Amino acid sequence: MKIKIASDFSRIPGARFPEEGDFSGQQFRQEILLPKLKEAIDIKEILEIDLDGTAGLGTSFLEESFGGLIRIDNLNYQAIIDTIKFVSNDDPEYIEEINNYLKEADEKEGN
Amino acid sequence: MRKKVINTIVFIVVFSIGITFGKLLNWGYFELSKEISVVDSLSLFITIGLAIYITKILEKEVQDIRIEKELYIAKITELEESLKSFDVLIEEHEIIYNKITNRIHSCRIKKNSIFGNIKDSLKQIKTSDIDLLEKEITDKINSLKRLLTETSAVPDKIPELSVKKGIATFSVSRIIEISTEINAINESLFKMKVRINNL
Repeated sequence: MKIKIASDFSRIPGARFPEEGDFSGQQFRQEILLPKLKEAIDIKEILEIDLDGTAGLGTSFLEESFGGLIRIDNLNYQAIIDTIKFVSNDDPEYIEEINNYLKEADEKEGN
Repeated sequence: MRKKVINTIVFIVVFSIGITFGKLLNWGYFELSKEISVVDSLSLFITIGLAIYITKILEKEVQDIRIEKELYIAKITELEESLKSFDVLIEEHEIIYNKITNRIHSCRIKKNSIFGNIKDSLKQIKTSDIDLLEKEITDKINSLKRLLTETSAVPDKIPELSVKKGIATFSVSRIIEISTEINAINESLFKMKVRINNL
């Protein structure tokens, strides 16, 4: 399974919430990421998320998209880590950044 | 015409003095033989060949390093200019949030390209030195990214950064934090320029 943010969502992702502007992290999580991730976890398949080709991914977008999976959708940190595989050739630092948001969200939830 | 006459007289005088001194002082002299052995001539040619070869190779190497150094310093300056542009951008009346995410994205790509190329081609710098500088600059740029693009997940009374319909507004204290971080990054980039220049 695969999600390419630039083609499946937007080449110019926005901020955190829809009221902050178009193509928010919340919209991405609710409409694309969460359904696919749940399906991938159920069928025990790897979900590849391609971060290349966008104009840039802000902190709010990434935190809301990925940290929100734990904070809001109560998904298990380990299940997310085991299922998602990131591709980021343009800027490999996005991968470490997302992993940090997942860890921070997990710690905040007291897990 | 007069100058020519004076020059000729000076030449004759100096030449005469030279001959007089030569005759008066009986200095030792070299005898030049017209014969030269095969071994000596071979050795002479090899020495001349080696001298030309070494000079050319060394000169090319020195020139290559100088060009490479200048290229990297120019690239670092380009990154500095991109970072400085945030200072102007955050003072604008209407700041487009996507413009900020795009600029910081470009800065990180530039930074990755600089370090990637330095590691590949400037072998004179120790890898551990480069790794340390890379970590220092990466951490600071990531911290700047957070200051520039992180809106709060919970409603704040006075948000440091608020975005409405794609337009960002920074608090005064956040603007100061951003400027401080940009200065800190520029300090690290300057350190890197000096390191490259000293090679």
